Amino acid sequence: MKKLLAVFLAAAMTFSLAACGGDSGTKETKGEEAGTTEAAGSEAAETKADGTGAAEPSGSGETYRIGLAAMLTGDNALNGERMQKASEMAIAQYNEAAGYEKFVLNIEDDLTTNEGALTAVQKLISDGCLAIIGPHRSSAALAVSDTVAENQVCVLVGGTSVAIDGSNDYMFRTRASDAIMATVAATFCKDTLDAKKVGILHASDEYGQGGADAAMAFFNAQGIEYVDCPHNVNDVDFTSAILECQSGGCDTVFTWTHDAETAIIYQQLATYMPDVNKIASPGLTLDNVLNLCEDSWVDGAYSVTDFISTSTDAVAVDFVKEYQELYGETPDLYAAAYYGAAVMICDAVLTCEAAGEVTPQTVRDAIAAAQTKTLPTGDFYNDDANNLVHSCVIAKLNGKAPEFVQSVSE
Amino acid sequence: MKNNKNTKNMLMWGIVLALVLCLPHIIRNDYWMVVFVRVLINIVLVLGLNLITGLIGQMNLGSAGIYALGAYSSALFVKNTGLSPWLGLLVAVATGIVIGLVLGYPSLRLKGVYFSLTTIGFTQVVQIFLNNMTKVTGGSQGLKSISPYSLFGFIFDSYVKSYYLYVVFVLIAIFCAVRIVNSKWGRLYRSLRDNSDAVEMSGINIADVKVKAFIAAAIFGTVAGAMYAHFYGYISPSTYTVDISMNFVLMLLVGGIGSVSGAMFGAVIVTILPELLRGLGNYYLITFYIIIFLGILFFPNGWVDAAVGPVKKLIAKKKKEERAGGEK
Repeated sequence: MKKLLAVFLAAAMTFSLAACGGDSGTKETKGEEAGTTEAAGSEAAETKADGTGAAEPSGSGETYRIGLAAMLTGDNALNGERMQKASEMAIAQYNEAAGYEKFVLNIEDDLTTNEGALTAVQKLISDGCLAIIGPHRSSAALAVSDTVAENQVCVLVGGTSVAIDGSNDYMFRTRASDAIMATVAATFCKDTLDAKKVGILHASDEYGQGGADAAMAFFNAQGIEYVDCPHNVNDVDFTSAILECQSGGCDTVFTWTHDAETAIIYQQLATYMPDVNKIASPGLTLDNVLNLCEDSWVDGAYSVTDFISTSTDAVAVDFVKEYQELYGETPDLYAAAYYGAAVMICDAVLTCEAAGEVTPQTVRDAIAAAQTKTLPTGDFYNDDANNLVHSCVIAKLNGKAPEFVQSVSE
Repeated sequence: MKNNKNTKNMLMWGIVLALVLCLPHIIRNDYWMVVFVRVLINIVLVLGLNLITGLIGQMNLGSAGIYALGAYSSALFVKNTGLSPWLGLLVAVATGIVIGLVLGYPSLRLKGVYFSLTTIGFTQVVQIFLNNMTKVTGGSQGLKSISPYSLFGFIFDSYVKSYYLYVVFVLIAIFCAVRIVNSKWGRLYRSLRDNSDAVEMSGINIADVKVKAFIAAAIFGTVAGAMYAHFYGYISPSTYTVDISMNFVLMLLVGGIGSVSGAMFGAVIVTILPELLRGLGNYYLITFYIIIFLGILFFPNGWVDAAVGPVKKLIAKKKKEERAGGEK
C-alpha cells in the first residue's frame, strides 16, 4: 500500500511540475487556437512559431494559410481529388496575380467519415488556417459545426442537406441546397415532363431523404400523386422499388441518391421501365456515374445539378478551359463548387488585407458581406441562411453527354 | 522477489500515468487533444472487445453496432429528459446489458465465421434502424448539440477537461478489465477458447459464462459510445459502419489479442499512427496500412509481445542459468 501511495505521489509531483511549466498563452478552451490568429502582423508571426499562426511575413508580403478538408480516401476519393485540384487551381491563380506565394493551401484528408472530418478540421484550425474549404458531406459538416463555431473559423461546405440551416454563423454553403435542387427537379417534372404520377427512388440517409422530402412537399402542394420508395445506402438491387413504380402507374421516375446507386437504378430502369421520363440528382452528370452506364440507360434522362462542363456561360467556359489545360480532364460539379469556395475565401482575405486586419473573424465577415460574384456554379452571394449559391442547372443527357437545358435561380 | 517485481510494475505504470496526466501540458494543441480523446474512447471499447475476441476467441465484428447503441441511448435519454449525462451513462450501461443478452445467446449456437457474419448483420440492422427511425433518432441527420458531462456545476466543455475526465474513465475500465482477465472468469474465458468441451465436462455452465462475457464486453462498448456522443456533441448513423468494427479488431491484432496492455497499446497505435503519418500527404494511409500489415505478418502475437517477449525470454534464460549455476 505504501509503495502504491509512493507511485501515485511521484505521478502527482511530475504532473504538478509539468502543470507549472511555461505557458505560451494556450488556453484550455476549444477556441484557444483561433484566439492566436487574430493579427496578421508581428503577433501572427509570433504565433506561427508554435505552429498556430495564420499569417507569416515573406519576402514579398504576407502569406495566408487556407485549409481544405477533402475526401481524399474512402468512398468518395475521386470527388475529393477534384475538390483538391480545383482548390489548388484557384490558389495558384491568386498567387500568380500576387507575384509570390501569397496563399498556402493546407490539405487534410477527412477519410469521408464524420470523425475524420472533425480531426481534419481541427488540425487545419490548429495549423492556423484563416478559413476552411469543405468538408463536403452534410453529416460531416454537421459534425464539425460546433467546433468551427467555438474556434470562430469559417468553413465553406458542400453539404446540401436541409439540416444545415444557417444557424451557425461560421458555416457557409457553396452549393444550392437539396430543398432548392429537389424543388427545381419536381417543378420540372410538373411543368416540362407533365408528370401525373411520380416514382421517387431515394436513399434513406440525410442526402436522399432531404431531397425526397422537398420533392414530396412540392407534389403534395400541386396535387401530384407519387410513390415513395426509399432504399438503404449501398443497396445494389432496386428491382422491387422499380416494379412498385411500374405497378403504381408512374409516368416519371425521380431519383435522389448516391453515385453507385444511381448507375444501378438506371441500369434496372432500362430493363423494366425503358420509356419512363427520368430526372435525377446531380450525380447523374458525373463521369464516375456515367462511366458505369451504357448510353441507352441514360439517354434522354434529365438531371438537376450545380454545374455541367458544357455550360455556355462565359465564366464557366473559361473555368473549363483552364481546368482542362491544367489537368487534362473535364471538371465536374465538385471541381466547380470548390473552385468557387476557394475564390470566395481568397477574395475575402484580400478585402480584409485592404482593410488592414486579416483574422479568421474578419475573413468570415468579409465572406458574409461579399458582393455578388459570378463563378462557374452561378452567382455567389450570402443570404440569411448562409447560402452562397442560389441557382442550379438542368441538364439533359444526349447519350452520355450532359447538355445544358436551362439555369434556374431561387 | 515477487514484491520486487510488483514494485517495478507499479513504478512503470506510475510513470505511464504521470506521462498521460502531463500530456495536455506538454502538447498544447487542440488537434492533438482531440486525437488523444479518441484514443481514450477507443481504449475503453477495445478492452471490451478483448473479452470476446481476445479471451473467448469469438470474432466480434459488431462493435460498431454496440458503440452506436451506447451513443444513441445516452444522447437520446439526455436530450429527451434534460437530465444529467451521468444518468445517460447508466442508460448506456443498461443498454449494454440488453445487447449482451441479444448477442450472447446466438454465440452459444454459432462459431467462427458464422458468428462473425451474425455480428456484421447486427451492425447493419442497428444502422438501418437508426437511419429509418427518424422521429426517435433524428434519422440520417443524426442528433446534434448533445451536452457534455458536468460534475457539481463544473462542465467538461473543453478538450483538456474532457481529456482528464476520460482518463478517469479509462483507469476504471482498465481496473475492471484487469480484474476480469485475472479472475476465475478470465481463466474460464481462456479455457473456453482453448477447449470448450473440457470446460463443459468440468460441470461449468458454458452458456452462463459466455452470456456474462458478452454483457461485460457490451457494457464497455456502450460506455465508449456514450463517451463519444458527449464529447463530440453530434452523432449520426453514418459514423457506425462495419469499417469501424474492423478498425477495432485491427487495434486488438496490433496490440496483441488477449492481453489488456495489448488492447490499450493497439488502440493507441491505430489511432495515433495515421495522424503522425499525415505529413506524407496522399501516401499516408497506404503507408499506415503497410506498417500494420507488416506488423501483423511479422508479429502475429502483437507488437507488445514482440517488444516484451524477447526481454522476458532473456530474463527467463538468465534465471535458468543462475539456477543451473546454483545446482552445480
